[in-house]
Amino acid sequence: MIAFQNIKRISVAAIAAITACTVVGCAVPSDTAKDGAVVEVATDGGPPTVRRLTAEQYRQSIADIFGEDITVAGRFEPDVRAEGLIAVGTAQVTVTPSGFEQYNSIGRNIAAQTVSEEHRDRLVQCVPASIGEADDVCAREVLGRIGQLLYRRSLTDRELDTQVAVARAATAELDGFYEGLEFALAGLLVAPEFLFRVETAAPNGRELEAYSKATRLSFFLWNAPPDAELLDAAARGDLDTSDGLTAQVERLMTSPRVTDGVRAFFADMLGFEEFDELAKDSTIYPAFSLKVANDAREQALRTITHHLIDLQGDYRGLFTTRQTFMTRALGAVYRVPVATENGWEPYEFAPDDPRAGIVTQIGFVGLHSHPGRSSATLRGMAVRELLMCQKVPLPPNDVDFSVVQNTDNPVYKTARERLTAHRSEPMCAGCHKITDPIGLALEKFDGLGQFRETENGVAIDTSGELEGKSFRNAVELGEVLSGVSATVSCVVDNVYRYAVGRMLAPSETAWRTQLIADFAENGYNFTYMLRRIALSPAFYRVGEAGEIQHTNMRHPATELTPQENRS
Amino acid sequence: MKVLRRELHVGGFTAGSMALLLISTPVAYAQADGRTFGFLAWDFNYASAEATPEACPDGLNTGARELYLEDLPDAERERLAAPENGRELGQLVGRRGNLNACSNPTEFKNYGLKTYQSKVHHGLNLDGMGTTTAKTAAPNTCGHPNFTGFDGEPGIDNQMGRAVGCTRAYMAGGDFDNTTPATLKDGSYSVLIELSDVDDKLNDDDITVGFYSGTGSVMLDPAGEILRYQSLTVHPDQRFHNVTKGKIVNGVVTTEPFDLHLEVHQQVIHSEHWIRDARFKGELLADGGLKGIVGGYYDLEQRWEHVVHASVITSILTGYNCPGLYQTLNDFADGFPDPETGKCTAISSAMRVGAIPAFVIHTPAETETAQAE
Repeated sequence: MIAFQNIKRISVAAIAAITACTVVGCAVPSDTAKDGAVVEVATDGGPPTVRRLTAEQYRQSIADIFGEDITVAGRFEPDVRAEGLIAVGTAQVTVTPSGFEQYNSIGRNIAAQTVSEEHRDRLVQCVPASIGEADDVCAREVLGRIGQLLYRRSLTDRELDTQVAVARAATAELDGFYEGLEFALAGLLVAPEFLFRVETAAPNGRELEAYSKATRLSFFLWNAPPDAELLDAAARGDLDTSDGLTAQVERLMTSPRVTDGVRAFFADMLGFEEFDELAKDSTIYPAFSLKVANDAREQALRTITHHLIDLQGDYRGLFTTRQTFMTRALGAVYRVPVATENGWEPYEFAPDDPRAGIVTQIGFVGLHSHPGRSSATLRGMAVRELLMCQKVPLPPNDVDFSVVQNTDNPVYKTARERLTAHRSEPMCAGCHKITDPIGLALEKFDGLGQFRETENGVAIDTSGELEGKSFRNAVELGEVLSGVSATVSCVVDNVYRYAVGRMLAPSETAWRTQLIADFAENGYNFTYMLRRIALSPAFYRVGEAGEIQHTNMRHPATELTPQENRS
Repeated sequence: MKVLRRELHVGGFTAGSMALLLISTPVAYAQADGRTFGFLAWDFNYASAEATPEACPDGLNTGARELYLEDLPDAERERLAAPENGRELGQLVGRRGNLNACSNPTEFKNYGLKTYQSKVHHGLNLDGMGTTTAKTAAPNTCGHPNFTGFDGEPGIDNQMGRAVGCTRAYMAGGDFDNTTPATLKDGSYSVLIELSDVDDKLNDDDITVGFYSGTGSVMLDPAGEILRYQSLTVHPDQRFHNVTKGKIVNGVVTTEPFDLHLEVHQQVIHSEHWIRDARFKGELLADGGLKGIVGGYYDLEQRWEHVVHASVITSILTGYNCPGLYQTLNDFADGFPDPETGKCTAISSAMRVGAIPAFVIHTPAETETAQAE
């Protein structure tokens, strides 16, 4: 409860800071000139990106543009993770022939639903002079309106003329106005301008043009395409003015939909696509099910958004918070009572409970485990890579894992004992001293995430040390993580890279430093950081490709304390 | 436990607390208030016994279909026994006009019932006495013979077991042994048990024990078994809340007598258990579960409602005849004599209880009602 009160106090401070920030133009970096004007570290930006919509973004786009009742039926090409983020990977992928077939199939189905009698009045809106003949006026109105939303910019006259001509020709071929319109809409739905977020620079070559700004902003904050109001603001040039941009950022930030954006970011940062393939041995973990997997993912995201948005909590509090949400399926795994028969309810772990922070939730310890056993190494690696942005080298090909994998080993009964034996191999020691102390702190959570005191009848030792700070258990590990600078810089790096879809450019190093400092000065308030980035010139700056930093991941060995290096 | 949601009275049994109980290993993982432990029954069924040759020397009871055929002339029996005439036979067995042998057992031929002859059966000593006669019967009982328990305990009262122990439906491994766990598993109904006010899980002379019907679906694991540590809400009808006092001695829980009403939904049976002067005796298991016996006097009318719901088809399938069963249950009844006739209206019974650790959720409405009362 003490921690909760602290969060509240920080939250109040953060809200005050945000309010002040809003009053002075919503961009208050740490360096402010004497006249009060914002001074921001200049950057040269990076190249404009071309990013393929993720499956989630595609679905959200269709829901926003056509309505929630339009079905998106089909499977998408898998998203690709690059440099730790799918958001970066989206700028490095294309569409394969088979992937295009999927897009085409899905798009045709959506187009058919759009012109169906059920949806025609709402989505087509105009009525053709004759349903058996082409009607360019009606087709132009529909294709222009929907096309703008799909392309996230106004169609050029030439583009619109082409689409109307396609509809006209198809009408003649298919003997119906709606059939022709459907054909043209299906074409829009597989256009690169829809499937990819194509960013272009403004004529000055220094920043994104207005529609690209709108798109980058909207996907950053809502994980959704810009709505009509944002597109209108872009068309008016509002996004090129401080007041206009501030107004739109405020509108987006104060919308409930910012929760969607935060969820999307953390799902990306925490690698939650792995839930899609999460499997457990049901004989060992009978409480595991697809529902548990889905709920564990949702629990983590609810915990995060509740703490960061609802409570306006300190980001670092994610590693120590005892507040979360439960379903009955999860309750059976956590072994806690859940009153709500169907759905979610808030839950707070008791002060003496061995769980605190997202790292102790099933969505972390269950996700980073093997199907039939826990894994201190996977968990330690996940903390290092996902939460601290530190790269853990892959094991050599010829490593003998037999000692580690044999949980029935009569000699080495606990994971600590097995890993200690494994580390006697010199080639293994280097990496394991990076991962294992963290992972072993979580060993009281089995491969599903259920609490246990012993393994094979032997008490589990969860003590360890990270960056010179010792801990006795998972709760204390969370406290250490909340005080480690790497967790803060990691989330800042990830948010910015997520926002711009690329690694940081060399010219952005100072800006990054300033952003981290501002984040700290504002109580590590996550929504402050979102606003800060959304209102910053750096976010919209574009320049030469230059030498984009290929990775923000640092080898943790370079950051290990002398004590850790000795271990 | 701090819960952000509305205030709830919650109980549950954790692996940690069970380990504390059984192997005395310090456990840091406390749940609920540490004094309340919940269970979900995977078995709440007649404590069946093996139908051994000694117990059933004349074999098992014959089903209503075979009994009906035996009474027919040879030619007619042969005709109706033919598979193609099964439908016609089905319309004849135990039926006459609008009457059927289970709803109107005294209107049909009584074939009697082969009863359980062994001296040993499951159950509890309800009357505190051995075998009694009409003259020596304890107050509020009728004279009856006793069993010795399988553990050697004398004075076991289980006239129900004596009456039905040689039928396919009630014998060990018989139909009820299969359908009860199956229907408890498929969500047809649920039985929740809660031990509260527990200060010492090994020895505590003052605890509260509750038996509740539950609501909501039971969660199963991938192997189809009931998932441990799940939460289930008690039935909104106070009728199915049965709370009594009890104690724990060396890990064995016993209760004071109480009136037990629990909802039952087993295939075509939609009724309730009504066991009068019920009491529980059971042990806490190493795996966090609970195992024991509910003994008491099963109300005959309530019991017969099950048979009526099960109807003639069940007597055909599971080997008994309703008139014979009705007569035997009434003859063997040994509890709660009618003040006017002196005839007992309930029969001593033993219900086998098997339960896994679970959380018993009490609704705010229920809590308020209980407080008001």
